[in-house]
Amino acid sequence: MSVKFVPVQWTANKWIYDAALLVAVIAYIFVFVRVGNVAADVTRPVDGAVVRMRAFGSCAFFMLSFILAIGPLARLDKRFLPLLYNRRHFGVMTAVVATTHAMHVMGWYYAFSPTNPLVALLVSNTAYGQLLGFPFEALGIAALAILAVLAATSHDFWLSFMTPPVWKGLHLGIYVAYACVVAHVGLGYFQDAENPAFAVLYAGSAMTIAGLHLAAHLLKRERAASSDRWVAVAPARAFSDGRAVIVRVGAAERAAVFRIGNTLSAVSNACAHQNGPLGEGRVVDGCITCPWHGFQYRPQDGCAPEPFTEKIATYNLKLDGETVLIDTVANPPGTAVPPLSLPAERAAA
Amino acid sequence: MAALIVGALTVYAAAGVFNACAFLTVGIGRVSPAARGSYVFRALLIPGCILLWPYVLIRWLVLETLREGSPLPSHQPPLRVQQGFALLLILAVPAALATAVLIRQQPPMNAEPVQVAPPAGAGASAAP
Repeated sequence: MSVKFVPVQWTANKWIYDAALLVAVIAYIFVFVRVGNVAADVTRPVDGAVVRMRAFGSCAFFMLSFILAIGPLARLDKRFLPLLYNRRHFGVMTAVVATTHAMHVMGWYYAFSPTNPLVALLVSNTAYGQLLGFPFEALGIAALAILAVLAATSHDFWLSFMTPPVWKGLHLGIYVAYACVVAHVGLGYFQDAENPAFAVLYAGSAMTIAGLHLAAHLLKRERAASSDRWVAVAPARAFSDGRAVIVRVGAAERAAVFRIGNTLSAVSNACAHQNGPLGEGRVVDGCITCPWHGFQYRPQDGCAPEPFTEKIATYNLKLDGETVLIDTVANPPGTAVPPLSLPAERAAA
Repeated sequence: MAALIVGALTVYAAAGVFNACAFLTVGIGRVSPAARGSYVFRALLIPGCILLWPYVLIRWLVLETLREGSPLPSHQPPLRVQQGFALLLILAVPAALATAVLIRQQPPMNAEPVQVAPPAGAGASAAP
């Protein structure tokens, strides 16, 4: 938790995550180029520069596919949640790999010409009116532009400067970028590819992403089907001291109900910092502590302790016999709510 | 047309550089208390300030003058919109794959070349 911005907020887990990611990318490029160069002697139609271009391009495609798989996987199975926590660094690295691919393309196809390479790129194929021979480069440019904007606005500052709804809305552009990349590869390299392994990996990855999002969407609809103003959270004895039970409070929102001693308090499950999952954190020094970056909030009003200024929404709770119920309509961020006292015999378990 | 687009992008980027210099030296400390006294991280913001400079400028102006009074609904991120984007992706990916497969041309392998006859009456005029 910090009152000042720092270049990168690394934790031990993030160092491991980033190191593993970097090693995987370097290994993929190395293997691809080595294997590709074997096939790229003077008697074959593929040059070394083209192999490198394809190595970075395919790497970026698979990285983007993996990024888009993390969200639905985490919704379908909580064991994938750790992959979600550092997705932002993954995205920045993907943008770097995609940019390297683009630089190889520019350096191979548009170099040594009196025409500006960018102009040459735009005028080399203008058959936008037909699918066969469609200028797939434009789709790649669009995807790269989106990835560049997302990477450039990935720092915490942008989340605060733009406000979370605007920032999140902007970053939904990842879906558009992926659709553009699938079409870019499909209308480009796929039209000439002779290697069936590529076709299987490319189509398999894309369909897996579509399938995972469909499965996560159907699951969400099923869960949202039965929603009342007050919904059951859990029996009173199910709460562990200092920990939370996460509950869905609408089609898209979640709340975290924490037990502190013999009282319960409910707050939004989304941290004001980066929408981190507060319910997976614990109570430290009387404050709910986000597992991502350690941002803290008082359970009773959702306010960060002084001198911090972050606020999150709170929820009203009540007991119905042995069952704890939560009001699905959130209070404005920072609203004080008296904690719900648990009778000692109910909380003892 | 292409030269015009590239020229416009160059002007846009140049304006972005100017905006980045102004915002990261003067504006950021005025609109973001957490940025005061913190300088190293500002280098990471340069690309964003260049790419989105009109938005940065407008947002700077809004924060300087209007001073948003009510807290924005940060507890309600646009997840419903995200569902719409996810559904579009679910439809767009199979559509793109199907299109790619349908238009893919499969020339006959090892086919003998065929001598194509010129159109009737075109032979004489085509000769140099």
